Amino acid sequence: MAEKLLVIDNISKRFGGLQATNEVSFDVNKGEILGIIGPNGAGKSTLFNLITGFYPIDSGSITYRGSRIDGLTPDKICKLGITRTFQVARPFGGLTVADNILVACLPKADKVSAARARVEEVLKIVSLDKKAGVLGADLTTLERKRLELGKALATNPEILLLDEVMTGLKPKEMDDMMELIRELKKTKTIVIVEHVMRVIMNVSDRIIVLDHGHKIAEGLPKEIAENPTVIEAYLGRGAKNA
Amino acid sequence: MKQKQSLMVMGILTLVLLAVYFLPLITFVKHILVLTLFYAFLGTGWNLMCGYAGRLSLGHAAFVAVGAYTSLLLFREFNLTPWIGMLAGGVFAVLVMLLIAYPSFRFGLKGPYFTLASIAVAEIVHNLLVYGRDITGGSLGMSLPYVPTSLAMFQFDGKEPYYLVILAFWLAAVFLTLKMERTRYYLEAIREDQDAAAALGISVNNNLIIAACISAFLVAIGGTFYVQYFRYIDPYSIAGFTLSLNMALVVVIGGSGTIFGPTIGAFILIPLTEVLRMTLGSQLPGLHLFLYGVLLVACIIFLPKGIASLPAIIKARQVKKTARVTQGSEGVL
Repeated sequence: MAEKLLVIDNISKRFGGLQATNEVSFDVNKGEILGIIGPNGAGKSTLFNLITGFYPIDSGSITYRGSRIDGLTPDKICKLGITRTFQVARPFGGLTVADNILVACLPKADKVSAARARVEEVLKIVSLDKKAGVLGADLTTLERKRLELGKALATNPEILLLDEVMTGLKPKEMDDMMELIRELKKTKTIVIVEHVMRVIMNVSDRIIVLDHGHKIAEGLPKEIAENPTVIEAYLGRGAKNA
Repeated sequence: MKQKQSLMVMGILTLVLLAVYFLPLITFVKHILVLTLFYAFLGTGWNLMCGYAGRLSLGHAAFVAVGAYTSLLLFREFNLTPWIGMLAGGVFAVLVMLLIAYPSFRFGLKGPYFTLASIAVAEIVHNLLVYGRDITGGSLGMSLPYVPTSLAMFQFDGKEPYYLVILAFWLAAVFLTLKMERTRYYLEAIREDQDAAAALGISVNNNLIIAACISAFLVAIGGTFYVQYFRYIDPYSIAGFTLSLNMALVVVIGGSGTIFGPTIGAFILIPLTEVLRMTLGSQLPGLHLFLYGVLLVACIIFLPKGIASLPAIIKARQVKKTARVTQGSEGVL
């Protein structure tokens, strides 16, 4: 039995009249890649916001390595070892690419010089070493995506939460990104939210499916692809007869 | 600018300013130099919170006033040396700052809303000073009881000692900013995107509050210097909007969020204002303000990030050019 790193137990979140997350439970095991899929508005990004403390949960509990992390602020959760990326990349526009990475290295570094020493290495991982001196605001969409991932990696997390890192990438770029994610899996546990089925089916060890805030399925990629409830959620009723 | 380079610039500037001390200058020039360094010092304090963290305050005069009135009252009532009164004023200013900063940052007040709140706070302090006539002397202000030159009592008959004192204050403030390298990076990240900063493990509120408190402490010390130098304060001149605005202008023109921006801004704006006022003030009243306005507009149009950003702008253009040339030769992720 794999070691359970993160245990999500029965969490719910309501925004006014919208139940964004409804009694969702799942575990994240050490060393796996867990895919989260679901139609638009299923509550995938909300789930990330709840795990990383950006929104408080209404009920339930989130346990990381045996201690509760719900109620902690995002910076504390990051320092414990869980880092997320944002669906729309958020570079620090007024800082250079190198400084963006440096800022991300700093919170866990004893000295500024120690953080600075790591910047080059992280930049190489995300192929931005040639852009080190460019301002974050001047990057292309693809470069922003890479920087977003680079910043998350710079915090040296145990669990990496990736929110739609493939959006806007060309097929070849996606292959490269998948390669990178598989590489990262050797040292990290990854939870990935993704719309692109080819990617999620390929890289995930397990998949959970959300729809309207509910978890409707959980299983191996192959099982999920054939699950009638999932097909219905994506394609609507009647799809199975088509 | 790298840490070492900044240290070197700081050292050279200090030596030059020390050398200026030995020049046989006329009193008016000496006064301008003291005033310039005074604004460079206030600007450096203002810059920590408003430049680096991007929480623009147009009410910092409130903290100057708290510092000034605290040390002056302690001196008048208890004959306490302003050197200690100055620290008391700084601590008091930090307390006032906490009163505002904590709720503002806790509830995410930023942008124009934070600026409006800061103006409101300065207005409150200003009114308290005006209406607390029994203690503060009201609009009539208060003067500093005269003591012949005494280092212990922070009073000197000539301008030269004040020059050395404000030079030391300025140096301390610049050195402090320089030493806060980690915090500066955090504040910049918070200014750019506070959620993204939090997601990377940076405590947004703690860093903002640290910056705000140090900022208030420094400008409050400036307040004590103001009293000792001018020997008179009134609510209008020390808690008024003009002082708040000048503090901000010096930094914005010089380059906010840079170590030497406030100093550059002060050395351009303050002598210019004083010289224009001296030369044109009597024959063509108002013209000095007109010219001052033209300069401001030109700076905002051509150098929105201040004069200190010039080298960075030139460098960024070059990097962009080379990046464009090499584009296409590199692989994707």
